Amino acid sequence: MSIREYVHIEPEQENRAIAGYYEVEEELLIPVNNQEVLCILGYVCWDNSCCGSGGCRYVSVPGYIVDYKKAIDKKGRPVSRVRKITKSEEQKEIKDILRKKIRNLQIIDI
Amino acid sequence: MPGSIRDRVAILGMGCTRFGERWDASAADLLVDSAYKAFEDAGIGPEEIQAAWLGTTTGSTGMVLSEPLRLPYLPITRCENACATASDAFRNACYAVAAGIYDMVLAIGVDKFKDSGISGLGDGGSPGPSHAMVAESTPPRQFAMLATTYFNRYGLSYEEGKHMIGRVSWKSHQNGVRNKNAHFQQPVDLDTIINAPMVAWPLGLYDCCGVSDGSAAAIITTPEIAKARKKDPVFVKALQIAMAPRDGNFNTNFDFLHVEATVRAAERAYEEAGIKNPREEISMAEVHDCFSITEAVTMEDLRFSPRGKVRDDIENGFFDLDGKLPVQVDGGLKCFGHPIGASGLRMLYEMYLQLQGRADELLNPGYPSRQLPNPKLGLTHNLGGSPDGCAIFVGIVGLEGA
Amino acid sequence: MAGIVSYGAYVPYYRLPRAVIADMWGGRGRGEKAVAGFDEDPITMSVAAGLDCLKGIDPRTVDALFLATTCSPYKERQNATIAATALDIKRNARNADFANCLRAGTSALMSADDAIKAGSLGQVLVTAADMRLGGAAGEDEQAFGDGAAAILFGHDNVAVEIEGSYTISEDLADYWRAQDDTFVRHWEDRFGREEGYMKIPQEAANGVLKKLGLELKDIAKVCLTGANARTHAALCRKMKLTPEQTQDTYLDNIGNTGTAQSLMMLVGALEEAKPGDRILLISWGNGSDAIVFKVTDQIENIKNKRGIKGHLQIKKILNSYGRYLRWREMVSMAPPARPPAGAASMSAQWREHATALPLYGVKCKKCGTPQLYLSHSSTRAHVCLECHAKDEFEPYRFADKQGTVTSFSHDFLAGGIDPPTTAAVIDFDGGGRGQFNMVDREQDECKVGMKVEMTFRKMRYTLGAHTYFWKCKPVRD
Repeated sequence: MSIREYVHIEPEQENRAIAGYYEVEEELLIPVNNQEVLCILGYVCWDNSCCGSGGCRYVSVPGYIVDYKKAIDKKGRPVSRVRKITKSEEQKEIKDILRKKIRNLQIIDI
Repeated sequence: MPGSIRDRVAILGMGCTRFGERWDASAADLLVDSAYKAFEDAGIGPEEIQAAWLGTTTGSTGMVLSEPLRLPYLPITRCENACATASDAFRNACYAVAAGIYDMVLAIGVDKFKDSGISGLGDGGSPGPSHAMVAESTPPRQFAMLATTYFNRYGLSYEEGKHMIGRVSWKSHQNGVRNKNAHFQQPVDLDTIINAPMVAWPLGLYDCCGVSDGSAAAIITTPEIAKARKKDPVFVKALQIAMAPRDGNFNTNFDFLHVEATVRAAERAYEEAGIKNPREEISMAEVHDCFSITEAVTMEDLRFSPRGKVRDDIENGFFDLDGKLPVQVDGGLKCFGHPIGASGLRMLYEMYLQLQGRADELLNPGYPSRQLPNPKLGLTHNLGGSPDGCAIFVGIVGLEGA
Repeated sequence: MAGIVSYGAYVPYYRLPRAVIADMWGGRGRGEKAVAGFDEDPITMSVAAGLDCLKGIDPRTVDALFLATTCSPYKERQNATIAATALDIKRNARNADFANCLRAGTSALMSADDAIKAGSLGQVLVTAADMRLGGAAGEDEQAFGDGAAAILFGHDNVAVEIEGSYTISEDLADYWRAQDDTFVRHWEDRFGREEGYMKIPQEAANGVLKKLGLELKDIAKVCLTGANARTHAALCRKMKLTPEQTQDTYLDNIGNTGTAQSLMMLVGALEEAKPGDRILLISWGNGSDAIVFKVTDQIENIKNKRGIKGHLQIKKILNSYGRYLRWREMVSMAPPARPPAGAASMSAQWREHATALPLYGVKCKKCGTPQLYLSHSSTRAHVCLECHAKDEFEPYRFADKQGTVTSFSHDFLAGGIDPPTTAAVIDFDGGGRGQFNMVDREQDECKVGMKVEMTFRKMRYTLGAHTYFWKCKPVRD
């Protein structure tokens, strides 16, 4: 039930696109409701977009940890299994924690 | 339709520069590079050119071309139609030949963006009335709304929708990496694309194209001259432009699920080229993938995929290089790049190379072949503007008899 | 009969807990203050309060707008006329700005009542709005809040009469701001308190009561303005006001709203008033105005407003002091790395203001389709988008319509003071569509199908002038 794989992107490495780049800064495991939530913190910069430039810090939240880095993918990157956070109260709780922890950031849909 | 361009003009030669952040090159350098590549490919000298159409969004007047190429006193028209600029320069050049006024003309496009010190095309904040909310409006926002509505209307979860449009970008990166003239040549995996942060929700970093410097050119002549000079000239089958009324923000009939102007231009182009079933008859296409959702919706607007069903085709690889109908064979805007005034001719260049079996002239060393097996008809599509307010071009080229 | 025929108020959506300020600079930090958005000013807040007040009333029946503020964006350009145009008040209205003093709100009230009683004007809308800025880490930063109120005077179905007033004008400058000052200056607090606030408002109150042959016990509610809770309580004790008589100052949960405070307190009192009640309103600032109101049995018919009570419920806690500083341009942010926008054109704004400011579209007389037309250069439609009839339109206003979101995006690229910019295409109830920026929204709550209403906001600042237009915001009641 809404369990999916999360391929860990190597931190502090520039992921370049034509319009800009992003970088994962660190991964956080935040305890919520006796479980651990995987949060990916990073920075995005759009420096060659067709429509202006800018950047911001962001966080994405793949979900509650089911298995942490117990597998690897074809390219040798660690893979976790996560359970997507679907309850809106839990989403809100996690967003509030994140907003308190890290200011001024983009929170990608949990 | 009173008349048709089908097989009335042919492309004798084409040239295209490497696209990218060309810190090394001026607009003049880029124009000379693509024009002389086209002359060489056509086997002609510049003195044979009788008239030219220049597409550029940054320059002004035909002197942008006459000066560096030293083309004295030729009739040159400067053409601008947003992202359809180069295609419209090509269209007008074709019409002049079809009309019998000239029999050897140049259509050329160029844009040089990377000298402004900042990224982007300006924000459209023209002097205007107080409501000028255009001051804050950006293209990603306008196209993001297509994605918001498409996901909502067809019941795609956020993950399903993001995977679909991520798969569109992934495919372009798979293709672009094989192309040594592409702006962006790095392979990117789907996870990196889907996990990327937002530019305009729900469009992430890899859903958006960038800007590039570059130029592309075509020499157009009559079928007779083309056949006399070249064994495999490429023929023009259809050239259509449709200008949208920019009413999507006012007209409740606009559904944010499709781009009507693409539908109208495409249907006219299919009629002009005698195409009944584009999904079966078109061999390949270069479309305006300014944003990944744009490409997805365009597949439906061009009748490559049934309405509301493009996700199946995208996820099943229908548009991949080895799929039934390869799209963005050269990497598209997202990888080959987007110097706006040259993009339409760049798309045409890829169709031209593929039709002549020459695609591997641009192969990145060490990568498998880019050449498609026996393509007959190629389609190019530009969208200049926003989904509701856009200049649309749809063109079809093919081999003789196709 | 002449007097108040409607009221309204506006409190900005965002509330900054004083603890958030205290977190940065120290201090106790009790309660919260209302904080106008980065795109709000006394003109837009006046429009918001005016919209609340004019609910169900044809704005074309209003003969004047009196706008009171000490925070005018302009030294020379009439605030009242910008707000009146947005509110769709007619062109031949006798608009006026009341300024430069915290009593400006009550001055405007009395002037409106006089004009109505004299018969020279039929209906006058008075708005008072302020958003004074306190310097970082100072007391005023904690104290000052933003808000607005609106009172409509007229002849028909009068709900509140002004029985009398008494004014003391005295150049006692306990607070002042010179032309070039960003922040309010103070003399020693004890001077203002002992020689000013603790004496003059009471003197004015006694003046009006004596004039009317009334005593304080005849007053159901006393709206005594005040800059801080401690001195306000001290004066209430001195005047021997009972707790039941004392109207809330909103200093704790909105803040000191300057010129707007007196009118906001009046609105608060009217929300609870019963027929026959007398209300005493006392303002303070270079003297005092004391006004006695008497409530009629029409009062129950005008309580259908959001007012203060409703707006106090519509709020979002702003937990970021940095965001507040950015909104108030108290910190120098890195400039956006993008080509600059062109300047807004005064002549183009003038040409379009009759349609753009009150948000008029048109309705086709042939096919009945309501439609907006907002292009880069024009807001006047000529050809119907449905049936293509040319110039067969009647005016149709969208500002007072609610709508439903058809599509939206959160735009991180757009820059601006408070990214991301949320843009939404909305389909209006009754027909018509427009694309607007959405404000006072949480990103998470935006959905296709959500209900929104229109709100008048600042758009850009070029060449020393603001441009204004409408945005949308979620309906929250």
